[in-house]
Amino acid sequence: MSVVRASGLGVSFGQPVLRDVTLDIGTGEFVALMGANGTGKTTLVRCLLGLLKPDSGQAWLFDTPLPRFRQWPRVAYVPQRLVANSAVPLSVEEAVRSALTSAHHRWRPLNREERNRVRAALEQVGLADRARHRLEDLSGGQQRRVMIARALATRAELLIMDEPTAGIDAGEQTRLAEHMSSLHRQGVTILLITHDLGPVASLAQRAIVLGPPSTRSVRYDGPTPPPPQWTEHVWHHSHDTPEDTGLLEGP
Amino acid sequence: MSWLDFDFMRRALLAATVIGLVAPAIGVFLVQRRLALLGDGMGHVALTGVGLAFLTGTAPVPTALAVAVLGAIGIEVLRARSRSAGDVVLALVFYGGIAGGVLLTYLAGNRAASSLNQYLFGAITTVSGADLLWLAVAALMVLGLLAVFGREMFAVAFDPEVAKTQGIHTQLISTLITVLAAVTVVIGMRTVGLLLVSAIMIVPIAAAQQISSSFRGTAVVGVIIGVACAVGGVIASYYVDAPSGATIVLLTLACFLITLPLGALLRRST
Repeated sequence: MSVVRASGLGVSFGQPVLRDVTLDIGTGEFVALMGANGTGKTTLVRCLLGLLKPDSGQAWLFDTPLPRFRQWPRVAYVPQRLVANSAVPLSVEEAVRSALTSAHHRWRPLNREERNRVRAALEQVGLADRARHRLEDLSGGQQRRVMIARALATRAELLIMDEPTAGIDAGEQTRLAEHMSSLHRQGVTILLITHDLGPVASLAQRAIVLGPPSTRSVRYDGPTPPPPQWTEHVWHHSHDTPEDTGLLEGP
Repeated sequence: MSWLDFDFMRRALLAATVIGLVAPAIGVFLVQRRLALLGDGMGHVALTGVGLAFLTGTAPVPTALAVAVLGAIGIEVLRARSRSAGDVVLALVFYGGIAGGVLLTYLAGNRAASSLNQYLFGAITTVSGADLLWLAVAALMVLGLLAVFGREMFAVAFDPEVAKTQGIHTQLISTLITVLAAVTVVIGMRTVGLLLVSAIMIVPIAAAQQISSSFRGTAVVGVIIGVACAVGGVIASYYVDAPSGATIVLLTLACFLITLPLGALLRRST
């Protein structure tokens, strides 16, 4: 079964951002969506989640076309940005609990099982003792872990994480890699957006690499790690095309 | 003779309690969405409703309520569909609302113009039994909708994009928050006046957020401050013979000035 599918996705903001992107991610896969800055990774994810309407093409979640998809509790999304600039104080526990809000059970408060899930998610990311602290008082890495706890508490089947390692130190990245690995072993399908090959991305079995600005499409879709010459040149020279470098032949 | 022996004071205290309870409860969502000035915009729209009531001879509270709710929906439609930024949309509503109110009141004649002050600055001692009934119905509606949709409103105020991926209809919930703010403005129209009603939505929350560490805590402390200042303001204004709306707002500002250093002390000690 396809968990995430896209066919011929195209997005333009005056200039093309994505062109004819096609991909298919099956149940239980751990996929790293890679590419240099500005290659449209976040735009693609926003299209896949229905947050942005593509100019062309279509996307599906769990084999349902996005406009008809209603089973959102099966999906957890960890955005790239943090929420430390919340205008009203927000406790760590409240941030995690908000992930369990849905239109399906707006009438009732969280039940015991859901409260336990929140506690377990915070324990998993090592922040159970900070549950009542203000989110803004936590470090960037800890806030990132809170956002991951939100995703863990949902028990979703698909986890989409946008640059979860951005701004966190090596120790935190290793810890995050352990959580990802554990979730993957439990059968969760993971789509990880990243622009580097840290300890988390190296867990992925498959890499989808978005091409440089001149192509705006999928340039590599295969096992991780992508060919080293590709990573070496694209990560650091985002405007080089594979043809420019002459180093990459497709998978 | 005690001030409680007067009917008008009992009605005034009931009206003050209602606005003190409801305004911060909805204000916390406005502050979180960085729309602290939305209440002011809605006050201006409600002014058009009051002007329309003067012109047509209908009751001001329900007419202002209807116009404010329509204005709230209009703001959300403009915010979602126009290319103007949120603050520009608010500015458009400010100007349109006040211009409409002044024009309609002028067309209604001199008598209407002289009673406009009651709505601009509040005249809590003139609150009638019928006014109280309208306030109670509107307040029950706001609190009922908060009880049902509060968690979704929190999720949308916290992170609208993630809320959308949770299957929450973010546009609908955003509109609901704005409509509830509009209803609250009308609830407070007779108590603190259209020009100051936004203050009792926002200032108690600004005071509460200094000493709270959670959203729920901020809302609860904000409501306590709101009710205390509204009731205290009415009683104080009776003794010093001052306008009740201004007295209430100055009390909430005094609370803010007290909680500001208190919050800094609390943070330093943890």
